[in-house]
Amino acid sequence: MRPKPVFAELYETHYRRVFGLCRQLLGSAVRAEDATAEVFMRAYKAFDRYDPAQPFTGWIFAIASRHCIDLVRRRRNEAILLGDEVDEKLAAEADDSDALDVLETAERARDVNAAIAALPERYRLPLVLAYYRDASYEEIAAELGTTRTHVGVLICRAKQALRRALTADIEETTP
Amino acid sequence: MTCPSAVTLSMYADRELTSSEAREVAAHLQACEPCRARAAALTTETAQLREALATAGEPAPVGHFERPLGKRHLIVAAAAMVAMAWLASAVWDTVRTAVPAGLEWLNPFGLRNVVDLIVNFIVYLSFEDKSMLSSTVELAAAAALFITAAWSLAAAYKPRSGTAAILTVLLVVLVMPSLGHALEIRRADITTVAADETVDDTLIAIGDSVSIEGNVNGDLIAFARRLSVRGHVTGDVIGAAETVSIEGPVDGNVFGFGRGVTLGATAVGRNFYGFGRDVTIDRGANIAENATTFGNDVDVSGGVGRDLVSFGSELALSGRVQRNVDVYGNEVTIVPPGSVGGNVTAHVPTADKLTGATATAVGGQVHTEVGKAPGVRSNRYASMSFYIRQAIRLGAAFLTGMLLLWIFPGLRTLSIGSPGETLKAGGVGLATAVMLPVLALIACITIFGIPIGIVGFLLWLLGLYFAKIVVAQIIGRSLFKSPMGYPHYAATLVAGLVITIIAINLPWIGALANLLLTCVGLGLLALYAAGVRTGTEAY
Repeated sequence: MRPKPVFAELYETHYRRVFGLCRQLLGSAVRAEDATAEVFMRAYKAFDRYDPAQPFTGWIFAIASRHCIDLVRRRRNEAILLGDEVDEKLAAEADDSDALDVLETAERARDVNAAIAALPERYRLPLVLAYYRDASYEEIAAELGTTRTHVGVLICRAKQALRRALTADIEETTP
Repeated sequence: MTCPSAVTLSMYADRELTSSEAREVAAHLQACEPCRARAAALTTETAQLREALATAGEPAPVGHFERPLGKRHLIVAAAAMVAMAWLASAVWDTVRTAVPAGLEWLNPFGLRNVVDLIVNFIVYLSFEDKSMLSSTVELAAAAALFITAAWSLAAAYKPRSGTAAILTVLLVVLVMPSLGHALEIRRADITTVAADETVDDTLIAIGDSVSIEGNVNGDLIAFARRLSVRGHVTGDVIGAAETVSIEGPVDGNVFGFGRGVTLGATAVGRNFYGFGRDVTIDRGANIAENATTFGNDVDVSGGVGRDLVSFGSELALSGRVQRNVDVYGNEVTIVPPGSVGGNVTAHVPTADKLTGATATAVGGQVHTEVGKAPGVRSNRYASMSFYIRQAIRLGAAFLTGMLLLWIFPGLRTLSIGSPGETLKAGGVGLATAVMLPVLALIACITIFGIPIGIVGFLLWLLGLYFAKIVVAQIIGRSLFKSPMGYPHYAATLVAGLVITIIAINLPWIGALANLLLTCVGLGLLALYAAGVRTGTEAY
């Protein structure tokens, strides 16, 4: 069995990534700071149960996602949080937007992030979990308390909303 | 098959379809050129989204990880906190028993006293002449010295606080007499300066019994159980002991702290300050300038060259005071042949408590200010004026707090994360409450000069007042804490202040709450001022 790593070192090496996940999930750096502190506090208390054979990133990311989803949930009624799957699905089918080349320039990354932060939480949470945390739809569905297909619909809607926001940006900047 | 839906294609690009669904879509893509292009674009888009997410924002600074406290730590911390509070309150209880009324204002944790003190201080600054100012400063310095002495004495009886006691004594020892004198320190159970001996330095004498029979050409600073000075001291005498007895001439000031402080038939070149349960100025004693006494029983039989200011339960004056007498007490008696050259102002419970102030005894006018006897308390919760006073207090604290938070926006968002931080702030606060006046005192009597000392002392008073406002704001914020953010700081401040004022007025535990809140708040202020702690977010 590998020796268990020292928590303080793990904290040093993982702080930024956990903070990044919290910031993307919460859409606010200020709230992410508090959340990150809380996540590490929880991790510290649960460190006995951490299996060093597993990657620490996955373990702490799971704690961070749960905490951030909790934070968002506390603000919103759950039904409103995720929306109705069927309605969302119909809306997704009605949207015939094509995928964008979202990263034409380096400055574009900032716009993309701003647009993600501005997404409604029901879209932002699954999108960030899938593309930042690299969680599978199954895992996301379990954490959000819904089905895999619902997650698929939400992520599709998230991308459609992003396209709308980013196209509007371009139109604004190039009259 | 018909073209797959947007959702299905998106899931396909993310490789999140089941294997049978994926096969179906793959087969369709073989046949349908537009769908193939859409799927490829979706894959690129996803990759770019991942990239954008990974590069978001500036890298966050890695904060320091503070381990949460374990149960054991908490118990130790709680015990330490109780011990600290007990120690501090024991000091004040001792003081209060020794001098029930006179020293009440000295308590740094009594808000009203502090406010009174600030007001008085400003009045003095604006209206009184310079001599009054310097005597006020001397008084403040003496108060600070007394706090230090009491603290170090109390700490000396706690083995664990030994270091603190030694540090305090060392600090006093090292810095106080830095008037260019050399230093001599004598420490023994029985410390003496023999009758035929002359000490040409400032002398620090520590021991169970300190007896000065010879001469000291400098200041004498003595900590002992019994202190007696029969020789000649050319500088000041600062003595803290159970019994302080000065029977030899002193050219400078005398500061005596103890259960019994006696000035025998001798001359004091400048001022006399006596703090004790019994303060006696014997017949034949002669104080060239002012005498200030704090004591339960004060007996002034000797002569005072200028003014006499006395705080205490009973004052018997049978000596000669050249100028004015200002006395706060339960009972004031001028006994023949006692006489006063100037005016007598007596703050007594009823007019008949001032006796012997006849025209033959008093050269000037006699004012009697009748008020409630200090130390006599009725049920304060039963009177309307109590609630009015609290309301005024709330209003004043609110206005001050708004001004404070407006000037220092960082204070609006101070917060305490963990019990450890609270403890740390409390410790820093207690240290600040004790050390700042000491430093101010040191500044007053050393090269830094009186102005810096005054500033330090004022900062201390302001800090004590602001401390609870800071804590109130934190309490208020914690009440309204929600992920949606906080309401305007005026709302959190009001809520916090209401809770704070209720807490510090609770019977029995109010004083303790006051002490703790003040310590924590003062500590946070000190840390904030030192730049260690800043607000958590912009408002």
